[in-house]
Amino acid sequence: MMFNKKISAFGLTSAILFSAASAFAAENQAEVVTQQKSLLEKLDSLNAAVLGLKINGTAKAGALASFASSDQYANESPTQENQAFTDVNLRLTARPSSETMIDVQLRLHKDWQSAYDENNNPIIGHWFSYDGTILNKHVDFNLGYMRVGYTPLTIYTPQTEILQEPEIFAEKRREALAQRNLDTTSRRLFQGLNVAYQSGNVGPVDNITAQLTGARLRNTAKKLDQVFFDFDFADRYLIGARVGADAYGAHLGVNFVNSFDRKLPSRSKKIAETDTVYYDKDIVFSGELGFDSKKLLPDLPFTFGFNGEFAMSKWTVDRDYMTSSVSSKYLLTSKKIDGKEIVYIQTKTDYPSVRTNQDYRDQDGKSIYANLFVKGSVSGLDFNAEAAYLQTDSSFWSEQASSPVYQGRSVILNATSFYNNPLNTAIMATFGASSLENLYYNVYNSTTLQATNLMTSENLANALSNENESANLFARLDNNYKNGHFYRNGYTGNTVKKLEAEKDYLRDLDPSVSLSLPFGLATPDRKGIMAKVDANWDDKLFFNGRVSMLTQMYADYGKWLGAGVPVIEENKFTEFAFGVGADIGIFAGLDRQILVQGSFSQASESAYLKRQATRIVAGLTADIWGPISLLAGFQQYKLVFDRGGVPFVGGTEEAAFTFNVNESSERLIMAGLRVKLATMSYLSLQYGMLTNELKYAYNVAGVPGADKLSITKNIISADVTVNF
Amino acid sequence: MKKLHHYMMILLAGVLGACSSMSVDDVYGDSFPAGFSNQEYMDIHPELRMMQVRDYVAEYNDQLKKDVGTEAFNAQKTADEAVLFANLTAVQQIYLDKFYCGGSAAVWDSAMQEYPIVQAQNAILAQDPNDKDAKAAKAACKNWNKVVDYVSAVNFVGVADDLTALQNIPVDYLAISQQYQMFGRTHGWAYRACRADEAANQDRRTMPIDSLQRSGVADPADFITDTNLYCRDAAGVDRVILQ
Repeated sequence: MMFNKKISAFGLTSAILFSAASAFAAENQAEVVTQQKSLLEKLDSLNAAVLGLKINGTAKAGALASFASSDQYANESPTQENQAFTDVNLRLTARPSSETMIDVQLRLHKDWQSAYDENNNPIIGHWFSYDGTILNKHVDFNLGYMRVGYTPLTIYTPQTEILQEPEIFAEKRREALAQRNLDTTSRRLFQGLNVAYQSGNVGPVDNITAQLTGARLRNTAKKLDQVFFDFDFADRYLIGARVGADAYGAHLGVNFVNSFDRKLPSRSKKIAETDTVYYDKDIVFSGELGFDSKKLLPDLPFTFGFNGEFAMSKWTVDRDYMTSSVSSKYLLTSKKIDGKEIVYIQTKTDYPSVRTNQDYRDQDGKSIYANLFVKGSVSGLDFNAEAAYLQTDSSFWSEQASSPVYQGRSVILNATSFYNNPLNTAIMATFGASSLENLYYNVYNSTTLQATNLMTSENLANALSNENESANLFARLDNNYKNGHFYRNGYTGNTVKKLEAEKDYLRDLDPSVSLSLPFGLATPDRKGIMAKVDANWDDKLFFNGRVSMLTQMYADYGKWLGAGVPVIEENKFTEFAFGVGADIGIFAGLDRQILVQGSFSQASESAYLKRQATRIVAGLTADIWGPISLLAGFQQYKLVFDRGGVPFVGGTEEAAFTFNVNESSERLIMAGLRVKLATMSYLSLQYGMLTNELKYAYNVAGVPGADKLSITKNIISADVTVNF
Repeated sequence: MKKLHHYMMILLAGVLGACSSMSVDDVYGDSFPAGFSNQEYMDIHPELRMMQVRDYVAEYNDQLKKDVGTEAFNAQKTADEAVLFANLTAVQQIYLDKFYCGGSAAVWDSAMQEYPIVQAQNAILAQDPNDKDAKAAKAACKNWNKVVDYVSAVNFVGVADDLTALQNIPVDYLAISQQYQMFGRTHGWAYRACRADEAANQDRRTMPIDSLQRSGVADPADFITDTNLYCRDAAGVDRVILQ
């Protein structure tokens, strides 16, 4: 009996820890749903303390039909896409003791559209981890998949923040992220080992922490999966370490992160004469300082304090390529000239190709931010106000803090549609489908592997060059219907190296993460102030406000002009956003939730592309009657490129054309019913309408003009979700 | 005591370091016979230099061929040779130089007698490249063809002044002297001119080793090394050096 008591005590503490964690995760959103979810998690973690093997998960059976229409589609273009699927996520947790846990998550996905192509389905394991809290709860560890966050300048994930995002949208976004094993927290997804030590009280010191993290990173040649087998043979690793101490409400910490490419795996493969392999190394060292008045002045109705960080980075790149060298040797040679034999020493000269290494880039940079905050609770009003100053060098780079999970710019729904002219095709190839489609929709397919989705190379010994298809390609089609899992998803957990980020102009086309801070607080070349206010009055009324003014010293518009000449200007960003939410149900004295939400945000820049992004959000989440809830959301996103548009060159070399997209207007309306069928079982019926309109000017064969590309997608989906 | 030992070791190392010569200029010096000179050995055996020159030119032409492509190279070679062999003074100089072709004056004189015939046949062949009689007549001019063979072997394709280019080829003396070590010495090659007091020394051709080496062996292990040293007298006879 003693034993059982102990376990339930552990369960309770972990439940509290859990809810604290999820409260932190949902800090930005402050949604009622999140709070509900955290309650569920509390219950779940109570269960979790049971020793032995446990299986739970979700099963979802559903259908989705997307009907697209556009005047710019070719006549023959398919306009309808159907998904009918059963998707089961199994979570197997094994607890050999109350201290450690093995977590394996499996996905079984059956696409009924391709059910006859293939009669057996592979199981995909997408999460493997061994986690625990050991040594009298002093040491936490994760082995395998893990989420780790240090500080905003070292290890961090910049996330999209949409104020008062209605639940119908938030859920869609979470689902798309979850397909990639991602979540809405600022922690980063890694695979490796993480160990954290907490001392607890030591004399006057409240806590001393030490943490070590090692992970293998994906070294991607491409960031967006165009084909399933998209990998790079080179290794990239991360080593992170930090120590910190807390006393009298103050926190002092030191963080170190090193991300580097290993050279040996790359060098074990041959490269072609024309290839260049880049080795990137990014070291960030930071110190953080914080103070919270809560510890010293616990009687005040509010707490105040600050936190700040100063970071230094060193980013170096060197590269390997082939050069021709001279190598001579002596050879005793006999030659017959005119019948006479001459024995002499011949100089034999060869010109072998050798791998040469060259230092390519070397940059040191600094970044600093300081954040003041006041938070508290006065007569039912919870509030949090912050003001921050940020200054980051243009040469600062912190890869693990910079890569956002949102990428966008891909076509999620109706991806098989095609367009009536090369101009529209080129526009879609650069802009992709709307950012709202990328934010909220995803497609997950289990499809038979075939010539169009297998990546092959002609010369298997040479892994970089050679875009030609392999001679084995058609032989591989004899794979007896192996299934592969395919994503169409705007999110990725991969990190972006600085060279890749520099080359990725298209990133600027969808500033959904943030116009002014696309790489979070670690965005290079920024200086300015930010402020935010969040308030919650008795869970009845919610308010959020954001304002920031940042300056970029070296915005290079020249990179868009294609002439290779930098056009450096100072660029000022102005951003503001506010959101309001009210639970009318409570106001009206009803026993149910009727949450009405709305927000408006606008971001603009004074130079560069002179972008202006405006987002309007509105939503309703209402319990109508008994098990039935109504969810609705409206979002409008408009992006204006004021500097004559974003210039592109499209077409072929012989028949090139130029186009300038100067405005993108998007709208998403979603409405749906959620019916609670039984405990943990929901039926969801949803309708969505996505409209996307791109206005552009063009010049084809010397004839200028202006036109627009508009696509409307009507999406109907129905699914039954069972959590078990 | 321990410290002292330590210092002694340092001192010892210092002394050893100071006494050892760091010079590696003359690593082979000791293994050569007395009075060996690269230049003299090369003068006695000019064919060693000739092979160097031939290889150098061949390497140059190979690189050119790689750079411009076979077709362009062949066209350039034909044009270049036409210009070179029209300049008989240069051809003669190259052919008679012992380091470039090592040709004899006798062959050159005969070639000059054949030259007008060759020119006549060339004129016919220019009209009809397949004229059988002209081809046969040209092939019969053996001495001229020999000159062409030798001189074109050291012709830089695409270089107008071949003679200057040939003079500028660096001499690889190491390859010359190492030939003596690796082959010349064991095969009884003379390495210097004979002094006056050696004029009557035994002629190598009359020594048993000459016939032993001349008959050849089937297995390299059966090869008999010549342990004598030889000089060459004014008449070109190799004589043993008394040691």
